[in-house]
Amino acid sequence: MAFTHRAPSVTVARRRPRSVAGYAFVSGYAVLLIGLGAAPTVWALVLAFQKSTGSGFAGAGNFVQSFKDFRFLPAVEHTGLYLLIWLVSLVVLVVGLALVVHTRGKRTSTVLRFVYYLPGALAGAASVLVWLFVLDPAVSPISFLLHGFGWTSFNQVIAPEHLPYVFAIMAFWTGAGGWILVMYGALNNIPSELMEAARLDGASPWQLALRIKIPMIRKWIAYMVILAFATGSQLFVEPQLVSQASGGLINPTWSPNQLAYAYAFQLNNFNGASAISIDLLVLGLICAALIVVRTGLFEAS
Amino acid sequence: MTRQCSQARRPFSRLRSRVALGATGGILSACVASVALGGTSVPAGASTARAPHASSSVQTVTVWTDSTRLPGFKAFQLSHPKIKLNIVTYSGDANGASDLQTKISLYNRTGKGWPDVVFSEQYTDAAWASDSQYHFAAPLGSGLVPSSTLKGFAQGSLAPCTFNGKIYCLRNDIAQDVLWYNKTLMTKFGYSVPTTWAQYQALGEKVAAQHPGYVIGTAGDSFSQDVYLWASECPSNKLLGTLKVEINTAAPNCTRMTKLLDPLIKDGSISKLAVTSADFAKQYGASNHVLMDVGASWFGEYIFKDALKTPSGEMAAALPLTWPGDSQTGDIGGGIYLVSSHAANPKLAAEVAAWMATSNTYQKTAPTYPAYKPAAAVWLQSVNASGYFAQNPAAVFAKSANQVWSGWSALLFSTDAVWADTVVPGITAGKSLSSLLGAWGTALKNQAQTLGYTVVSS
Repeated sequence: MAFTHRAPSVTVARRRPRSVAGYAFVSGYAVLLIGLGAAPTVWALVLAFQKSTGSGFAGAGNFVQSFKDFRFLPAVEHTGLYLLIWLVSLVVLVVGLALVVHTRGKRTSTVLRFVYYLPGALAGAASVLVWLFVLDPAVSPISFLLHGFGWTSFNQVIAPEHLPYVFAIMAFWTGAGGWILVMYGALNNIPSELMEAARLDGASPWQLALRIKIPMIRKWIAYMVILAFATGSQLFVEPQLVSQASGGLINPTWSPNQLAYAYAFQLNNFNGASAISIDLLVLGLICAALIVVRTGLFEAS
Repeated sequence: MTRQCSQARRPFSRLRSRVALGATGGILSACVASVALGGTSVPAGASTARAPHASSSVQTVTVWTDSTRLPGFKAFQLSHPKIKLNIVTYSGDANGASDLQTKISLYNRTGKGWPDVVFSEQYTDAAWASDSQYHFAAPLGSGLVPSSTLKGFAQGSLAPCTFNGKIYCLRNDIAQDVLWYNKTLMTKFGYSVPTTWAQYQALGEKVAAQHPGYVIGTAGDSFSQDVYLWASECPSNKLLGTLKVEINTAAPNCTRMTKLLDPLIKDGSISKLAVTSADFAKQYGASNHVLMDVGASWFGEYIFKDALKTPSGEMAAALPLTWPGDSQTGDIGGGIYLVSSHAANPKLAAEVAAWMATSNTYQKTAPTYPAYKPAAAVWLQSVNASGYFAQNPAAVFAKSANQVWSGWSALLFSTDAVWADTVVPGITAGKSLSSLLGAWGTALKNQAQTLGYTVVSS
C-alpha cells in the first residue's frame, strides 16, 4: 500500500510484457480476495437469511434476533466510542506527523519514517502481547507513567471505562506507521512548482501545510478513513487477547465481531453470526459511500 | 485442575497459549472461512461416524492436552508401545477460554478432524460437549469404562460429568478449597487459626488494625466466586433439570458471605488483586505478607511455592471454614478427560483417558489431588515429601475432598467468565461485593436464557 502512490508516475515503454506481468502480480491477490473475501461474504449473505434451525428462508429473523440480543447494544456502544477515539487520533496524528516528516531534511526524514513504520512490522496479535506487558504496572517499562495515573495493577489499567482508549492506543501503534508513510508519499507527489509558487507569494510553513498540502492529500486522508473505519468496526483481536490474558476481565462480547464469534461458537448459530457480519459490512459500505461522495474520491482531478 | 495453575508456575505460558488462540480461533476471517467450509447441508452436531481405520498392529489415538498433563500422556506412551499417541498441546481451555468449543464446532461442520481424547482444565466443558447440539463427548458408563473404575472416583467428583444420568467425562483432579495459612507468621503474631467464617472476619479486622499490609485473602480473581460464594452455598447456578437452572444471587446464602467480606475488602485485609497476578506476587509475595488465603488444594505448590515464593516450612493447610451448622466448601477447577463419540476406536480412546485419570504411575506424580480414590491415597503419601509445608496437609486434603458443595452445576457457559467481567472490574473500582450481586445475577440470567435455559429465581 505504501508504494501505490508511485504507480502513476511510472512509465514503461514495452506494453505487452507489462500487462502480462500485471495480471501475474494481481492473480495471487485476486485468488485470496475471492477465496477469503468475496466467497465467504456471499456465503454469509446466504446464511444470514436462512433459519438457524435447519434450512428455510428466515427473512430478517436472524437480524432481529441479534438486534434484540442483550449484548448487541453494549457491543455497538463500546466499538462506536473506540472508533471515534481511534479515527480522530489517526487523522490528526498521522497527517500531523507526515507533515513534520515532510519538512525535515532527507536524513532525518528517513530515520523518522523507519521509526514510525517499525511497530507495524509486528503482526496484530504479537503487538497486542507487547501491550499486555506495557500496560501491566508490575512489569511495564513505563510503570512510572501508569503509577502517575494512579494505576497500580493491571486490573485497574483495563477498567471498563479505559478500554476504548486502550484499544485505540494499540491500534494506533500498530497501524499508524504505515499510513504515515502513505501520507508522506502523497505529500511528495505535490508538484514542486506549486509549493515554490506559494513560497514566493510569502506563504509560511504553517500556511503551506493548511492551504496547500492538506487539501492536496485530502483524497488520501479519505481513503485512510474508509479503510480504518472498516478495520476498526471489525475489532476482534485486541479485546479477545486482553480478555484472555486478564483471566476474562473483559466481556467476551465486547465488540460486535466478538458477538458474532460467540454466536457461531457458543450458541452454535452460524446464521446469527452471519447476520452480525452483514451488519458490519453494510455499516462499512455506508461509511465508504458517504466519504466517497463527499470527498469526490473517485473523480479524476 | 485448575485453570490457573499452569501459568502460576510459568507466568508466560498463559500468554503463549493466547497467541495460539488468536492465530487459530480469532479474527472474523476464521468464522467466515469456517462458514465456507461447512455449509448448511451438514447439520451442526451430526454424528458423521468415521470409517474405522484398517486394523494394524499399531493403533493411533489423537489426544489433546495442556502442558501440565503432557508428562502423563508421555508416560502412557512409554508403558504402551503398541498404541501410538498423537499428542497435541493446546491451551487446555484455561481461564474460561473457549478454544476447545470453537474447534469442536468447526470439526462438526467439516465432519472430520476431532481429537479422540481431550483433557480440559474446565470441568464445565462437559456440559456443552455432551449436549446434543455438539454431540462430542461419548457416554462412558455404557461399557467404555468399567463400572468398577467409575465407582472408584471420590464422592461427587463425577457429578459435573453427569447429564441425564449418563457420565460423559472422567475427573482428573479435585480442587477443593481449604484454608491456607502461614504458620510462621500466625505464631509470630500470636493468632490462632480460624475455623469459622465469623472467626475469619474477626481476625481480618484484627490484622487490618494490628498488622496493616498483611492480607488474609484476595477478591480480584476470576474464580473468587468459587472461593467464597460456592463455600457459602449461594444458589447462583444450580441445575434443577435439563435446561432448568436456579439463579438467585439475592438469596441469604449469597448475602451472608458478601456482607462478611465487604468490611475486609474495605480495610485492606482482603486484597482487591488476583492471587494469580504478577501485581499480587510483587506487592505481597515478595515481602511475604500473605497471612492466609482460602484457596484450592493446588495453591500450596503453584501459588505459594512457585508464584509467591513463600519460603519453605511456613505454609500449612487447615480445614475449610464453616458456617453454623454446615461445613461445605468450594472448588477451583478440577480438570476432566473427554472421549470423542467420533473416535475410530472408542474403547481404546476410553482406555487412554481412564489410564490418565486412575493409574498410580501418572497420578502419584501429578501436581494435583487425584479424583480417583485409590490414586489419591498413594498421592497423599508423598504430598509433603519435599518438606515444603510446615505440616503435612494430607489429612486436611483427604477430608475436604468430600466437602465440596454439590449445588454448583456445570452450565453451557462459563459462570467464572460472567463473574470476571461483571464483578471483578467493580471490585477493582472500589464497589462493594454486596452492591454487585444484583448485576452478577442479571448477567448470569441473561446468559442462561440466551442459551435456552429456563431460569428459576427462588
